[in-house]
Amino acid sequence: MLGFRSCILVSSRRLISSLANKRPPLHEIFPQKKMVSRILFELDSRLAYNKLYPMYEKLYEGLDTGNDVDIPNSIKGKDLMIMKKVLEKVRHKTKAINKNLLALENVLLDRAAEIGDNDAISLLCFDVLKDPDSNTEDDVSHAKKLIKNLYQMNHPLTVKLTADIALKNHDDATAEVYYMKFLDLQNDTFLAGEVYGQLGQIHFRKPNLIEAEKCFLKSIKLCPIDYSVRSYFLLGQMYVNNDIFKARYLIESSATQGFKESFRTLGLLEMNYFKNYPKAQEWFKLGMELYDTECFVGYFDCTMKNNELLLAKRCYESMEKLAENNQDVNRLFEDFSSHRASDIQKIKEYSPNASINTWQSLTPGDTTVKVSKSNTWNL
Amino acid sequence: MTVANRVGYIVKRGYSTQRTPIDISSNSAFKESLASNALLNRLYQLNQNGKIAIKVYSDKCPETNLNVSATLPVTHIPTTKITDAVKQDDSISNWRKPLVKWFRLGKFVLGMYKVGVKSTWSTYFDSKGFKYTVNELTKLIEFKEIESRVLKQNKFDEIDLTRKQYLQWLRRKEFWKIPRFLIAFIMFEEVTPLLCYIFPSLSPWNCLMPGLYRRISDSRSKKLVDNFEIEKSYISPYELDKTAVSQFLTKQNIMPSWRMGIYNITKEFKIPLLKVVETNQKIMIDDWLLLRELLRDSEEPTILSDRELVDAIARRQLYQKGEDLNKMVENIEQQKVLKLRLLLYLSFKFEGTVAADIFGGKLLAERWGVNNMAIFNFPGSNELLKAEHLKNIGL
Repeated sequence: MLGFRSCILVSSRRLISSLANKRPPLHEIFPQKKMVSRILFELDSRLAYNKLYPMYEKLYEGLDTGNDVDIPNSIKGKDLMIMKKVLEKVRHKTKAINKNLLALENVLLDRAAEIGDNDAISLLCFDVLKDPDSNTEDDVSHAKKLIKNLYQMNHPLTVKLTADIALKNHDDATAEVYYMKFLDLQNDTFLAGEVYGQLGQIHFRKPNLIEAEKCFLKSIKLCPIDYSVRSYFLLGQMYVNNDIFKARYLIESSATQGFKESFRTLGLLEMNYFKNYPKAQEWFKLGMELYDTECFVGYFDCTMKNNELLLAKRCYESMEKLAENNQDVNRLFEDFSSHRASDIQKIKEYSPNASINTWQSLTPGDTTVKVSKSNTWNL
Repeated sequence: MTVANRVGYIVKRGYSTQRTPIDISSNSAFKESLASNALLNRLYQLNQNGKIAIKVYSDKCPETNLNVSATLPVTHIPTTKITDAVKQDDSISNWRKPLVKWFRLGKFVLGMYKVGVKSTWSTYFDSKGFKYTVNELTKLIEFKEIESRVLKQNKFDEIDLTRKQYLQWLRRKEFWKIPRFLIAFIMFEEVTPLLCYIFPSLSPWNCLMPGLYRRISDSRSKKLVDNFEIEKSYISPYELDKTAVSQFLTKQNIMPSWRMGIYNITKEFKIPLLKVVETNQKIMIDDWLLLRELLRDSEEPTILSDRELVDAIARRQLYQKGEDLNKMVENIEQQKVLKLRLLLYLSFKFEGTVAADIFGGKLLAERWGVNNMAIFNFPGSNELLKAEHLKNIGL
């Protein structure tokens, strides 16, 4: 009996594990038709959702079987790249990575490269070059050869990716040269918006702030906000001292995308400049959720200004806990404690139940007047 | 954030900056201030060496990058000179002398109007090509300051702008008074000066009679923030008393009183506060350009005309109610007082900033906070400098 039971247990475990490894059906994880159609429209796709979805399904099924799926002649490499970009955009917008969709993205990229799409080839080659140690020498040399060919053809994405690699190696001067070359090839596309954003940051570091401002403005114009959030934030920072409303708008825009530093800046702006403490408190609260230590300080100050001692006390206790586990926070916490000694003393003395206790001591239980429901207002 | 931190752009704002005003109460106290304030020391030395001079505007405006005196009202009418000339002229018979005197005075006033209208006209067209707004200029100055600080080299000269051009642009709107003034002149002829005396805003600003200046400066003497307190060295425009804002804007002729009345009724102060911020930025730009000119290493002294000095003092409210700035600038000692008030004001405001040629210094916004109303029109000294203080500062 025991043997039978253990046999069932083992087989059920195997079943569960096999089910867990099995990919869910595509329709369960695939984004909504409306969203995909919109992205296809944005990407100026040649083919519509109804044509592309069966292709997605085929390739997705092929992930498990490992067999190469036949791609009809009507679907070109560019279409496969658009299909890949759709999934990439969904990943960006939802800020969530689904490993199955990611695998599908990779397959789409591979197949597009096989068909001969230059963008796909370029992306794959740069993937090899970014991590040469985990690739064979042959792969690396072949990738270099392909990139050289693409570069000689003035392929825009190759130029951009070359600049990206230079930027990754902190070679701003080379990166700038390649980015400028890219802009000579195309300067009004979504990709150009990204390039303007990167160029803006290079000018920002130089610093050549007038050029940086121009680049950020172009980046914002060409790119959707989720791809140019840093441009929004840095431009906002550049305007803080001279055009504070514009700065606030830009930083708020970056906050809509969850850009961590923006919450602190907005909180400080509202607290110190606009003197809007409730609003500042809300911004700091959002920053606290991301464990930004300065937001804790700002939140504490706001609650003290608004005389919300209970909230201040809770904030202080949270900071105390954070400081116990983190050296950097601990240093800041010590500074904070020394600068706000009187406020901290005040909240330590504060007891949230004090008012209730006082009330209870003033109104003994047996003498309370019970008011009937019909006479709630005691008229 | 690494990008921003590298440039040092994410500013640690100076909301809690504590600065002591320059002490002019005694000689020793002033010496201490001189020792602790490098900019004050430098400007003081320049002044002592005669590198900052005030020239009385005569017939020709000193052609420098600092002055556009022709756009400002005359500081005095040479009544005595005209009277003396008539008295000493034997060719005029005695009975005619009073008539001739009045005629010549009238001629002078008409000439003043003529020159005033002409220069207002030319200023308007000269400044037509001005390509900046107040916000853009503030931004440009800040950008160049950051670049200078990071690169440790002077980038200010890349700003293609002189104080003269800036002032011309600021004063160009006077042009729109010309049609009204000319109509009044054609209609009322010789009575026009009287009308202008009753309604000073009828004429362009540079046609203002010197005697009226005190009346106007007295009405504009009310400050937004009365005193600078070390403990509260940052005041945001949103903290200002709304009644004070309302009074300031109407008295300074920045906003018409009927419009301010609407804002008072609706309790909507966003636009008035923006006007205050703009005024602050205008003064800040002027301060910056003035300081750059004063600190320019040159063998030649920096010449500021008497009219410009009066205007600079008036716009920064570095005077008390009752003081006649036009009369003060005529007197050598009082002229010194006015000049020093300006220098003390600049020394306090810009000490330790990049603008004061310190590439390791702070931006004005870092040192004092963005649009700090606590130092807006603050004289910089513990009390307003007067003639009796000159001995305390070794003059």
